[in-house]
Amino acid sequence: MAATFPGTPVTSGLRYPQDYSITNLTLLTPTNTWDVKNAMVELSYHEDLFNNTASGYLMLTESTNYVELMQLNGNEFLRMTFSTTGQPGTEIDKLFRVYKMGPRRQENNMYTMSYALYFCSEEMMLNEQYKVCKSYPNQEIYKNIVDILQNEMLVDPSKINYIEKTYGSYDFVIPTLKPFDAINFMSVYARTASGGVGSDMIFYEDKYGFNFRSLQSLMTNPIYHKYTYNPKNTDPSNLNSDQFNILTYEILNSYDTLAGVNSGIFANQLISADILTRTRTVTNFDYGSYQKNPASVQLNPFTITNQYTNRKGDQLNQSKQAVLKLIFSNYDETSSPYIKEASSATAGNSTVVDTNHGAIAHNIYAETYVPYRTAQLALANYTRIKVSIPGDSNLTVGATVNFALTSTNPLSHTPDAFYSGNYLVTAVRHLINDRYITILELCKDSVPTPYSSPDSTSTIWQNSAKGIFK
Amino acid sequence: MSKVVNNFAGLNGFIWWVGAVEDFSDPLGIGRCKVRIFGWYGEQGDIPTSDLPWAHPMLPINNSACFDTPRIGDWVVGFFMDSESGQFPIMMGVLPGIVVTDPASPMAQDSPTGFVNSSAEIDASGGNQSANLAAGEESGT
Repeated sequence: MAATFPGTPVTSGLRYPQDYSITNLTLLTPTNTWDVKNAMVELSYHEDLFNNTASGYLMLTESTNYVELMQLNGNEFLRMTFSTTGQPGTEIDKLFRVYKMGPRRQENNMYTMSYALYFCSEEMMLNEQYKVCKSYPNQEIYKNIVDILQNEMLVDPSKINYIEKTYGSYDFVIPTLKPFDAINFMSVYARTASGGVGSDMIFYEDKYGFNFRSLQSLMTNPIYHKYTYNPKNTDPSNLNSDQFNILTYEILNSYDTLAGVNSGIFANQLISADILTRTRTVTNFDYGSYQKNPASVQLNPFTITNQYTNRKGDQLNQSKQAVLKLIFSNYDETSSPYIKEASSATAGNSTVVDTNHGAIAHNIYAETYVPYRTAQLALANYTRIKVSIPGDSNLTVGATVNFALTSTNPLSHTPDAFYSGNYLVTAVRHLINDRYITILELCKDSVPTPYSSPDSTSTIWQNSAKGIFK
Repeated sequence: MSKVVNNFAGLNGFIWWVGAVEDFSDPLGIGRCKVRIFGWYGEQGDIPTSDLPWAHPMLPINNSACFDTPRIGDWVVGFFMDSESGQFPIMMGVLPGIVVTDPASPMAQDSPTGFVNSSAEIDASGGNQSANLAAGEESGT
């Protein structure tokens, strides 16, 4: 399991931003291995932190009738190796399954055709073909995930990049699910064992292979580079500056308090009930406490909202039942003397509680994963920006970058106080046509500057909170 | 509106199932069984009986203090408390059925129809308490 991420920015061999070098673009078909570099019109390779596999498409224009010659039928493989020009060691070198051909269009003459070949990881195909029906008694979740990858999907160990350890043992029965569904199912319960709080483990593919990591551990990655938006002509004497200059950006999500309240970012409540012990537990998630918890990891130091207090005297993080959840759990069943005794008797040992073949299953810790995961995944996507930069084959999902968005205030050229800061790269598209650009989706869960809070003693604020003008 | 989201039991969809009882020796003695739920828990080779989760019984409200467990091989119908996660099964009831056996077997030859009730098979091997109670006989306990 080689975890070489994050790479170090390299610009020493750069000749011009947006230059690229494709060293390998071959289609493996039953008839031959075909170099299709010369027919390539566009190559798009896409990774997403919230998708399990990478995918993309290759647009070809050719007049040699590849389709018939290569006998393309959806069982081909595409090998691609490309990088930013002059940056050895940063290549994206992947093998994909070609699964679909898009519409074929005749070009200028009757012999020239244009079409796209869509590709995905072979594991995506296997995922659709097979189901996992297996039990994992008394096992840590990360081991189960490695087992599914290696023994159910037969993934080569070299393609398993980084598997983060999880805390606690569980008794899972995988109820006949697709392999990735089984992994995603267990990810929901998983609690990281390497720092951070809550339950924010995700399974995804990056340029190195498959990863199972917590969002908080990704947020602790060293900042890859600082990007600025500073439109200007290319300066051949300072390619380094041009390489890390943002070409375009679009703020997709600035804030949406209503959606935040509805998704449980600020507050949510879980009622967990145990039918065996007839107990109910109420667990509250409070964004304010979470943000102040020294064990929790955020990209920037301050909260995404101010301390506004509504007419009922509550801040956003104090309305616990904004999102109410009810699930059946097995919290602390061994505290019942009868269950403890029965379990011990089953185990044949008076001091060990047998939770495997015996009376009860291991605690699923619903009180941790439900309230936290609800908030953490939504919080990680709270502010979302799409930027395009000169192609950088070093960049992969899970990287952290600093975005210095220049304030749109014409009198100020300082970075925007709230939309600048550290971001997590949640999606990457490497797009190569006549040039090479990398399109990043950047998300953040916090701001670098604190928002001012309203003066709760002010009459105008008090009246506004009541919905009246006075 | 807030309830119409994931993780609210009762609103996540009622997922019912049918399965066969493989173990009724509940260490807690509350009538739980290990049930091979069809289409969810595969076969013995996939998940051994010992690893199946305990399926909790649902008892009639007019007689919840007295209960009996289904027999090995009985088909039961139930639902999952945790919906699609499928880790907390609840048994609602037994589906009576008729088992087709080899017509040449002694048991089948005793039956004029050639079919044998699965409860009778259990009775022949280990005694069928339910059947005895149903016939008006007193339980030994």
